[in-house]
Amino acid sequence: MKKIVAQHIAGLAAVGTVFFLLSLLLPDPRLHENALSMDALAAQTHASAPLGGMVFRFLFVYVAVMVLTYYGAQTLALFRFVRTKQMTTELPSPIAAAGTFVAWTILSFLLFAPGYVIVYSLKSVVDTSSIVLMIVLGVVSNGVLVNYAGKFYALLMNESRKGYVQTAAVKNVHSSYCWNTPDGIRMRRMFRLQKRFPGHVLDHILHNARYQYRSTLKEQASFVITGLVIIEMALNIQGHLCYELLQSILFKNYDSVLGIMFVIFCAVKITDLAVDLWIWRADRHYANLEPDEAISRQ
Amino acid sequence: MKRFPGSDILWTVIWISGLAAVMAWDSAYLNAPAFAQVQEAFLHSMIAGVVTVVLALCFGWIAGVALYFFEQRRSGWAGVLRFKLDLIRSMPQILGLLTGYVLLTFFLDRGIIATQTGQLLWTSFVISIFLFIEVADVIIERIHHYAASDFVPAMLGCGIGEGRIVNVEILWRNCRAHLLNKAVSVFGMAIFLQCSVDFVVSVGLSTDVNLTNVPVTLGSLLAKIDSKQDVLAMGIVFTDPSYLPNLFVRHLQGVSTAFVIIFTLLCIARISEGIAKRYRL
Amino acid sequence: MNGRQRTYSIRISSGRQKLVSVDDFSLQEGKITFLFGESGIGKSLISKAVYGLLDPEELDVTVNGEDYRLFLRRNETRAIQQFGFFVFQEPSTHLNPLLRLEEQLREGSLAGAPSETSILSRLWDSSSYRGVTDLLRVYPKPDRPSGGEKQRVLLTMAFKKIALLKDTPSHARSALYVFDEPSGNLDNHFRDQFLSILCEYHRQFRFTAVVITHDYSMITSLHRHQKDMLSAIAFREVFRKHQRLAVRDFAPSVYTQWADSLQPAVMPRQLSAPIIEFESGARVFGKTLVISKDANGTSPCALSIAPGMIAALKAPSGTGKTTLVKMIMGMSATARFRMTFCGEVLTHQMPRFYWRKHLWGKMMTMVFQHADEALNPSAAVKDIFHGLAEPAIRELLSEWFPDNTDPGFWKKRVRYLSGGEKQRLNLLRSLSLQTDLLILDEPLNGLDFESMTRVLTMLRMNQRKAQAVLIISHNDDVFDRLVPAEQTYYLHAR
Repeated sequence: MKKIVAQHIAGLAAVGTVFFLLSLLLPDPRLHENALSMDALAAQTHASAPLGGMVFRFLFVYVAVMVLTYYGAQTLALFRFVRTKQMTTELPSPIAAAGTFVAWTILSFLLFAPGYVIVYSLKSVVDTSSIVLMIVLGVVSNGVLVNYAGKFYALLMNESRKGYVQTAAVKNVHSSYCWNTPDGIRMRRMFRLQKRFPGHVLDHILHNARYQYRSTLKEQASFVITGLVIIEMALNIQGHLCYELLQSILFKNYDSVLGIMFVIFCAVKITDLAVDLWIWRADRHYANLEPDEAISRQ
Repeated sequence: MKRFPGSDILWTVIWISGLAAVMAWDSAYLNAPAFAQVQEAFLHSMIAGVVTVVLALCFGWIAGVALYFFEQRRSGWAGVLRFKLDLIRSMPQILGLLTGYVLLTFFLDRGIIATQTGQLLWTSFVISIFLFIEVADVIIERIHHYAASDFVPAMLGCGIGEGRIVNVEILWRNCRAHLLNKAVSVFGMAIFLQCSVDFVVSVGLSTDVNLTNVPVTLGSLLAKIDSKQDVLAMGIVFTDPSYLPNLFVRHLQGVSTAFVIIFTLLCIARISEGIAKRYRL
Repeated sequence: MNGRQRTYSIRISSGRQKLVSVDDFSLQEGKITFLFGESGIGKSLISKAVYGLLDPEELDVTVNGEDYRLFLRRNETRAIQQFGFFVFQEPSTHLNPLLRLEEQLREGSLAGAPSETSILSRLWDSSSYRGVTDLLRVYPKPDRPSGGEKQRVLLTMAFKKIALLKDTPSHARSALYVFDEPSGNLDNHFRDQFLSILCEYHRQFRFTAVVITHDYSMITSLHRHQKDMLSAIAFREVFRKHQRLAVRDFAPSVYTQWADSLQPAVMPRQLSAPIIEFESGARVFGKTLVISKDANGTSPCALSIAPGMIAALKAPSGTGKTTLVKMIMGMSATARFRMTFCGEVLTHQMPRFYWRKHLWGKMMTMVFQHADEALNPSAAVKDIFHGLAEPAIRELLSEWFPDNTDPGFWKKRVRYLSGGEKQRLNLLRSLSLQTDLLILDEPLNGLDFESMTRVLTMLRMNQRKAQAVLIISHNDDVFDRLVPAEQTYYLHAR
């Protein structure tokens, strides 16, 4: 465990050093030929006052988006998985299939749209500075949700082809995917936070898929941040952390650029650390190193 | 499913025909200079995407194989390399790209990079730095998969060289499908990142620097003031649905650029999914 | 007391690739059918098709001319699935890694079965049974439980399900119990234990069962220990006939007589010093591996093989036989050992580079146990023999694949070959290298009867060319006769 923590701290230190060296290397804006106008400088110093608040707001949105994406991706993927399985037993009518395809494609357009496109098309309609909108956009746009739902779905499919699933079926563990039948899937369980399907083979599949998905969380963290940064920059509203970042880049105020970047990097790194510790703990458990410790299945 | 062509092929066809349809529509209803710009932007973005993929594949392959050999020889470099890869992995791509952009302005000022091609190549290079990790991960995972079984020892025992086993027998003969799948998804990510960073930077830039020397890409084209208006116009439809037809005639530059971006991302994701399904990855 | 005969004609294909086509696959109700034949020929696929385990989405299957989806809905198929059991071939992938073994032993319909204690205590000898309760509390991981233990857990599940017949004895015949390579990870002692439990339950319930195996030595074991059961057992062999599969009766005497006729491999002449001397007392994973010539391991000695000699290494499964030969091959990263090879002293401190440069493929080579893993599935047959003279190889191939008339065989991809064909290629690759030392890990695995005889012939030829051979095999019928007692070494882990 100490090794994991040390590695992450070393990573933070390394990036910190690089940023520090860069800040020494890059020229000071005031000495630059195209020095920015005094107005802009004034505007900037004015805006950089509530930096702490901006950082807090950004981190809050980040955490919310991470959690919602984790839940949303699982729910969406699970739904798709069950539908796929149902399709193998009952072939739907071609009209229904075509309808689903069209509806799904239209929805995909929304889900795959980069944040900035949605932001701009909504700018005249809703208040774009709201924190709720930020969170919703962070989850839905940039392909975040649909990408990670796709990954989770792939894991589910992959697990469902494994041998232990067959063995479970041979033991007559329920393996029908019909909705709400005694040996099938209760639909309302699909939407729970803690998704469990006791006595059904899906419980095994889901548990294993979730176990493997955890390492994807790290990837998800840095992608969610990327999405949030893009949205905030595109929203172009003063008072957002990444708007400050963009302004600092444009005005070549490199110290501020590197500072904000380091804060964001820290957020990802801390997530990584948390995920690694979580993986380490559960791995130890499942590697039979802590036989008596009860770990919740989530 | 098996009676239809694979969904990867299906979506490739949909992508190409969709693009052709947009181009045909644009050539009829969009003014000539704007149309030329849309085409140029599309071309630039695609070229940058392809270059990114090629670079990412090269870097990923080299890093993955190097890591395997370092670990085999229990060299200290293995730890160093792994640490660096982890570091890049936890760096949000956008931060890396912005750093790359900062360096680019620095180079532009100093005249180190002067041409448009140079700028495109630099952007592709920076993006590939942050995406090759994914390729490297696949390669490392695949090599480990085979090294954990009897595959590698059995070949070694028969006197086959380790370089040949890793590069030819494992990666070339057995992992092309994995690499193809990864290449496609890296291409999608590259387009996404490049458009996004060009967009956000151009939005800010439009007030400051003249854009004449910057290569136009889908992202920067969308950030231009007239395209931005077009995208804003999409919002009008929410309050006034009768405005919808105007989008496809009057606001064509922005709408078709946005459409091309989203449609490309969507199709590439579907193609990658199709490949994974076809080869059971 | 003979039951009905169920006959199936089965076609399985995947896309354009035809996988299996068989017309007269029959099962005698109330009997145990032992199904022999080289591995990968399609025995498992046929049995899975009958049990209703194939996915109609992935494979095109017809059974008795009927679409598989319809076959799955038949009452007969449902009965098979409801009351039967299928023990799959690879125990490691057929246990859920995130569920304790005890939970896996008690889920589904097994929850209603009588306690597994008595079965467990027999499948784990009473001497080593103490550890079982601990074992059941673990999550299955690649190294613990071992392959043999996982296999026994799966067998326990099967027996628990069979025990359910106590309440519904009328289903014994309509159900089907399939054991796919049940002894693949068991040593002979536990294999016999499995057979005796199986026979015991069969005497009680007279159910319909299929045991898929390529381990012909089961025949000897049944003849020796379960003589009264022979009337309730059918020995059948699956073989390839004109691109199709066919099933015929296999007379057990063919095998027993052949095994009896094997002679010890005598030394051609008194030869020089041993080519290899591996010292007893190597250490790995905190264990010491003791080599001795007596079965009890009381007087440790070095494992030494002279040119032209065949030596055998014996131990219960899981002791570390494969680990030990990997040490000889310089492929064990964590071991500590010392040996003399061709006059050179080699230890774990020698760099891997030395083996690569001087030994691998030149002076020593090894045939790994799993041909599936050892050969590149995407390579063509010719690529396997990369660097060897083509005419000689082609000649050998025509000798080893006499029934193969496919002119494209040379360029055929390994993944399209059956497991037995792969194993033959795996053996041929190493046998044709003409190294000074050849190590064979379970060389007869997956081979049909004829291929087994060919392997032994080629071994004898190589022996005449002064090759030293070290064999790990559980097939005592063959190697106890082939290897002289003074060349048999026993391995103990302490």
